[in-house]
Amino acid sequence: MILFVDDEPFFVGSYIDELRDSGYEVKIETTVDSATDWFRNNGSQVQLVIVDVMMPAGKTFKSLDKSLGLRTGFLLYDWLRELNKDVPIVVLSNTTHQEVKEKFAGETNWWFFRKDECFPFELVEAVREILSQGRKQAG
Amino acid sequence: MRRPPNKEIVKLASSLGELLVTGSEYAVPEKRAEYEVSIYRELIGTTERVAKLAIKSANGNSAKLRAAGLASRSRVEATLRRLQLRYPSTEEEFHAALKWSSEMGGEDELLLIEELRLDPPFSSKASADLINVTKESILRRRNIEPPTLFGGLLKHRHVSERQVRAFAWAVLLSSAAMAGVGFVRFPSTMFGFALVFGSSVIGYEVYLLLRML
Repeated sequence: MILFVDDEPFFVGSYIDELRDSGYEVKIETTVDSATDWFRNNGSQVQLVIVDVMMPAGKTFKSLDKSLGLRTGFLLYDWLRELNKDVPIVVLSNTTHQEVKEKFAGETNWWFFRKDECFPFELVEAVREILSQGRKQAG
Repeated sequence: MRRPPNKEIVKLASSLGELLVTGSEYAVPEKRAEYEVSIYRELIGTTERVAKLAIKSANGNSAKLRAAGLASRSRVEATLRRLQLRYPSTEEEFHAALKWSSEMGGEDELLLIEELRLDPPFSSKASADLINVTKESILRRRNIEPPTLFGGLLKHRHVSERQVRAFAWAVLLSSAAMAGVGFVRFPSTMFGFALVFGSSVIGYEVYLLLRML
């Protein structure tokens, strides 16, 4: 099962369709509140998480949000890592490379793809590789 | 041997384009924005599917195709985001389009955001804050200087926007007073002309600055 967290389902609809067409079971959550609720109860089923970065902070991260929701995905990443250090996390966003590199410096088991540089079928190829090789390296 | 289908495809694409444009022209005004947003949404999906087909069918050298496909999709998304900024159906959609602009926006988005700052579609503080943050983000990312002599003040870390606004109004009123003095007390003299001209230039610069605030 792949957990896909993005507040704009339309803009990631083709990524989700492509993943499903390739045989993956995908759970889409459009708020961080619903995503954290779902992961808390079903985290053991999740093979990989795909997260956006720019999303409303919701109730979960309201007190931690310092950027009007521009970096909520970073907070969600930290939250997920607290619960599960091993699950591969793919950051799929329009956020700049440099900022992501700075955020995830020293982290492992994460990958980053800019939406404007990655077609849906390319994301599927990457997911397939991540899951088949079980690599543990920085993105 | 089969003839390459390029010319026929261009004709078909062109006629489809005409249909879409005519559809927009015929749409009732209150439905036009919704129609155009739907069309751009369709175009994003179509671009992705066509690019995939083209890349998967390529004879090994698909880098050029990939770059063209990504550029085409980005262009469609940029147009769609601008539509969502101008005619948002919900405040959430407006915020999402602003967030996209903060990372991806250029000169066009900057101009649009400036308009939205003066006449925002939603009156909430969250929208106002996000508009300002988006504008700052685009300026910073594109390394665009504020387009006024006084605009540099905005970039100064220790000067608040309120202080800049107060200063700008003080300068604007002073320049108006100086222009008045030049016009009334020194009519038809070089000094009077210089006073009016100089004050007008300063006044215009400050006016531009106030529009940015």
